[in-house]
Amino acid sequence: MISILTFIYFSQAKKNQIHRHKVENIADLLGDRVFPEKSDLILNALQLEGGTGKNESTELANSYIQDIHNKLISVDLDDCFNDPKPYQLKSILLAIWIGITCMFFFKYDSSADAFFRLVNPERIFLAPKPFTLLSMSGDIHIIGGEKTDIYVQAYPSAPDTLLLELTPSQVSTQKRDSLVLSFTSTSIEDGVFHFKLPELYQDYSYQAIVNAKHFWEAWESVTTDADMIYVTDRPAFESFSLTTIPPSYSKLERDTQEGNVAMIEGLKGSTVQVDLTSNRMLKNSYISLNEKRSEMSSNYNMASGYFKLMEEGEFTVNIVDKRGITNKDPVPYKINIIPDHDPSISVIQPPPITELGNDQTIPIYLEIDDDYGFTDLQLAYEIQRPVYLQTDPYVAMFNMNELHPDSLHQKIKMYWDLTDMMLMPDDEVHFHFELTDNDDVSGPKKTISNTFIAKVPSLADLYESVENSEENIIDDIVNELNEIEDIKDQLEKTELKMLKSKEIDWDEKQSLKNSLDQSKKEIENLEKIAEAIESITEQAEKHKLFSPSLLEKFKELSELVSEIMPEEMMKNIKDLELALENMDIESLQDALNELTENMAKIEEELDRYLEIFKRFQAEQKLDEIQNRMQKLNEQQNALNNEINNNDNNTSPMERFAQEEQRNLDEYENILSLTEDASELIEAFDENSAQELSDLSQSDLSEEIQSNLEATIQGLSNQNNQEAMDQSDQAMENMQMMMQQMMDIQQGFNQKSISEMMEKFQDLLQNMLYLSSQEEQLRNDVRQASRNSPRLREFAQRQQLLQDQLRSMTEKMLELSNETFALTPDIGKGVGKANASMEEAKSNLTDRNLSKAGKSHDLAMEGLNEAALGLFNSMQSMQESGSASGFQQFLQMMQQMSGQQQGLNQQGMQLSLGQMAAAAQQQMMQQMLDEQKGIRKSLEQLIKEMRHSGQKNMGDLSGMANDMDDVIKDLQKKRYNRKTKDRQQRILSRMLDSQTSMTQRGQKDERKSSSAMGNLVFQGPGGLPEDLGQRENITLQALNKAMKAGYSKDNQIMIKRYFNSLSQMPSNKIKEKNEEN
Amino acid sequence: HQYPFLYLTGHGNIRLTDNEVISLRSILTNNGFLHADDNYGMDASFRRELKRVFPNKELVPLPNDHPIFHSFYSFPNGLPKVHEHDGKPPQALALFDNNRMMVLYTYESDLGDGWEDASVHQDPWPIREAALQMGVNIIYYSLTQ
Repeated sequence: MISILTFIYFSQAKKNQIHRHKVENIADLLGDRVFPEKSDLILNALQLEGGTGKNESTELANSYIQDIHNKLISVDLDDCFNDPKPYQLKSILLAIWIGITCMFFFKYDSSADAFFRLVNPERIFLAPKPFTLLSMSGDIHIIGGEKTDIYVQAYPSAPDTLLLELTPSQVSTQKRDSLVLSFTSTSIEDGVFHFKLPELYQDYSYQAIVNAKHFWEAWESVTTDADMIYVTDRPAFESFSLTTIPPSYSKLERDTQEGNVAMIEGLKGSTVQVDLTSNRMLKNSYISLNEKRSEMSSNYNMASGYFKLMEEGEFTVNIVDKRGITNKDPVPYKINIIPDHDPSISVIQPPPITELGNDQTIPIYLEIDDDYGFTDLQLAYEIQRPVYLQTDPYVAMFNMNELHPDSLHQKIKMYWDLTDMMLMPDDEVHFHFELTDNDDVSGPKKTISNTFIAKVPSLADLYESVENSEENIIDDIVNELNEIEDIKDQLEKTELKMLKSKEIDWDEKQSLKNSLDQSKKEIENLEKIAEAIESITEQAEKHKLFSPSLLEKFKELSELVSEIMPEEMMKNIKDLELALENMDIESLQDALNELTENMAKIEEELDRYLEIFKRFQAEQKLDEIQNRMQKLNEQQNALNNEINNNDNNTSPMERFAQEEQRNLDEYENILSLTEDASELIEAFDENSAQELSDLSQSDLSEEIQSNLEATIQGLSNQNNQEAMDQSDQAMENMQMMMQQMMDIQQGFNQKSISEMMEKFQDLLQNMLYLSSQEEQLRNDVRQASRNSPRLREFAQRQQLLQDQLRSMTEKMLELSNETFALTPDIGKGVGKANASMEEAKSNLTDRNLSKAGKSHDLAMEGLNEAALGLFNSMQSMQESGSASGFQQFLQMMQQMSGQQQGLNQQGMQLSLGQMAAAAQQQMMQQMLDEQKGIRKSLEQLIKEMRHSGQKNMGDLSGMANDMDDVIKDLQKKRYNRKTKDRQQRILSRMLDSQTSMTQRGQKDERKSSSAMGNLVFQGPGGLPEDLGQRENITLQALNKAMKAGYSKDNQIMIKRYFNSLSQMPSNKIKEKNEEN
Repeated sequence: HQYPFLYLTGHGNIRLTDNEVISLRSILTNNGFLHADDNYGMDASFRRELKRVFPNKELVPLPNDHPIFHSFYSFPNGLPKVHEHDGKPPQALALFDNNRMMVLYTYESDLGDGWEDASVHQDPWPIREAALQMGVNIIYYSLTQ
């Protein structure tokens, strides 16, 4: 048998099927012993040898195998596998076996007995027991849930402890009821043992047992006879349920819970219904609620009852069976009242104090919450007139119909229109919101918001506040300029110092750090200035203080100031900080240089913006005059109507006179304002300034004043006819004055366009002149013969013309920084002309007159095309009233991105999934229509832009494609994450395209090319002896220092010192060592 | 460690976290091998980070007769030049642990660009072939040294 097994073993080993003898295993083992650091080298070679994959390189594999083979030749394999351990193990086993055999022979008698019992395992060998046990309690009768005691006597001797086992007398399917219970006890006196049993609920047979302690004892166990404990049942619940019925206002579902949860929760006012069945016929049953008894109705073995949850506490359910036995220890159920919280209201909009704009509406945005719903939401308000009017405030309240009573969390958005309140300047509306919930058990609870105030400012106040803000901005810009100048000086000084010395001392480092901190502060200040301009723009827009074009200019200015910071500035500062930290002098110089340049740039830009800002202020003054004049005109018109409709009734005349006096005061204010404006705009346009000044002192102006005074006089004298005539005259004159003011304002605004037009006109004239000169040259060339000596002179004339064209091109390039009206068509024409002139020159030099003629024609064509382009641009500039062509594009794109943003927000609402299906459908349809509208506008824009030859429009066609996809999704009534992403992408592309229009030029990309092969590295002659391993003298020194017995604090310090040393380059360490 | 060969490439700044420094040191001192290929502009940051991994070791330039240039294919002129950025010659530098090469740093060569499909950089075949052969040498050398 052993031979067969041995044969099988060896044949399997030969077939490489026994793991420990597998070739791979042996290769792995060998690799482990020969190359412990790379144990898989031999296995890799073996796998490569066996591999026949088509994609492997046989040559590469063979080379590797040969390499490993060469390494293995020098290895002695016997040394690798000479292991003495198995022989030692075998010797130890043999010694143990001999020891056991000797022991058997020395103890022969007992060993023989043991051997006899061992060879007769089925024969029973009885042994005498050391004592007897007797139950003193015998059979016992108790009621379910009662406790009992059992006594057991042991004689003639007693064991240390006694075990009592209770075995259920009936088989149960419940594991818990089938458990054998065990108890132990020690003797109390004279061999008597006492067992205290817990509450029992079923019959048990019981036995006291003592088991032998050791396996070699002659007896196994001693027991009493089996006795019984008989248990009489108490009534118990077979089924038990509690149903909570919440109050109707909460609209909550009823909730049923089983009896095993000993707590019941519910809203105050909920009804709790108890239903149960018992295992016994019931005599009666009751609920004990906070120690008050409430009877339940009992029928056969069923009972039910209910109570209202009004306060927290406890209740129990008790049953009594026909025998009068009660259920054992009824479970106390805890009552937990869920509170109905007060409704909450948070007012997102308006802010505590609102200045009412021209539209007299207040946007309201509330977020309200309640746990079970609302009754109503009301807005209570009080109109307070100025104190001097001595009127009682008007108080009112209205329901906001936007409230849905059953929706627990709502966002209420509405516009509160106050136009019907006929508010006057200085009036205030104080208002708050009152939200009531629907609790009809404890009574509805009300939450009242804070009080908000809406004010009606006067026009003069508004202009004054804007002016004050602007003065602050100018001061800020001037301060900023000074600060930047100081920083720049400081930086330049440091730069110079660093050029002189390659080291930087501590003081310089600190001063540079301070300059950097200061620079950061200035960057923040610039942002604040931009914010301040933005806030002025917002205020002006809200109250319609500026004309649309001025408003647009302010918006652009705010953007420009926020973009004043060169993009790389922050990075630049960070680089500088890093270089300073690392004491990298070279990088420090570079970064410093760059920062100084950037500072200079900012300074320049700020200067420019200050100039522009002052110009805007002048324009704004003109707007103010225009606006206040318009308002005065309206007031005069209203008063005029009242006077005309008054049938010589004397009672309101006093009031009319007072109002006219107010109009006269305002008129005088406007005249003084006109003088101020004249002074302000003088710096920009002397003509307009003079015209304004003339107008304020004109006969017309004086006539208006006297008309108003005469009207007051007439009214005071109760002469209605006189007042009527003078008022009519005042109205007429005021309208004339307004017209004249409007003309002055337009003239002022047109000036910038005129300047640009002049530059274009110059260019156009020069272009046409060049064209005519080219024509002249062509005619002269045509008349000349091939051998004419004048050909050289013609070539020189052509060169002159080309030089003139080049100088014009430079001017155009400069102009292109100011306007987009220089279209690519113009550029193309100039390019064509230039190339043709170059050709004409070479043809003239070659005496090829026919070709030269053609080149002249082409040059003329190019020049004429450029002239036509210039002419078209001038025309469109005049039509649009704008000197820079890209404004229309920006405006349209801004409008569209606003629409797209609104659409995206709708999408967000949709994706929250809180809307009813019908409302979702409706919203999707609405979104579809809006998206189609935006798509159409975009198409129009692309067409216009292509037509005008604009480039750098951003990814307009990509945007169109995304829009098509969104439209398709919405048509399929589908709105998912992808749709949302696409909408977001459209918006971001729209914003990008605005940026791409304002930022011309492209970033330099990293460029590389294929190697030409002539760059070869003349490497070193060999590797250094130390292979780059730096002597770790710092570590050695550190170890030495650590062992020198310094205190812990000193050790930490020493470690830090060595750590900093280890960060230094090796040459520095050497220097340091030499110093020491 | 599961991976005996690490490859690092890119351009611009590279920064290792403290944990990454510790992991890289552990891999490299336990028979791991790192090939770092500067794709342009990575030089300063890579040297800085390598200093953090092995403060007491210096990168040493490899002579043209080093076995890595002859382990399978022969490169008598040392590291081949694949892409040109600043007109500098290609350089191979290495960091050693005793005699074992742990890090090979190829600089101004751009081997990685030579390993990409022809359509990516339109490099001629001889240049791409040299890049691929050098790649074979690096892997072969790292596994048999």
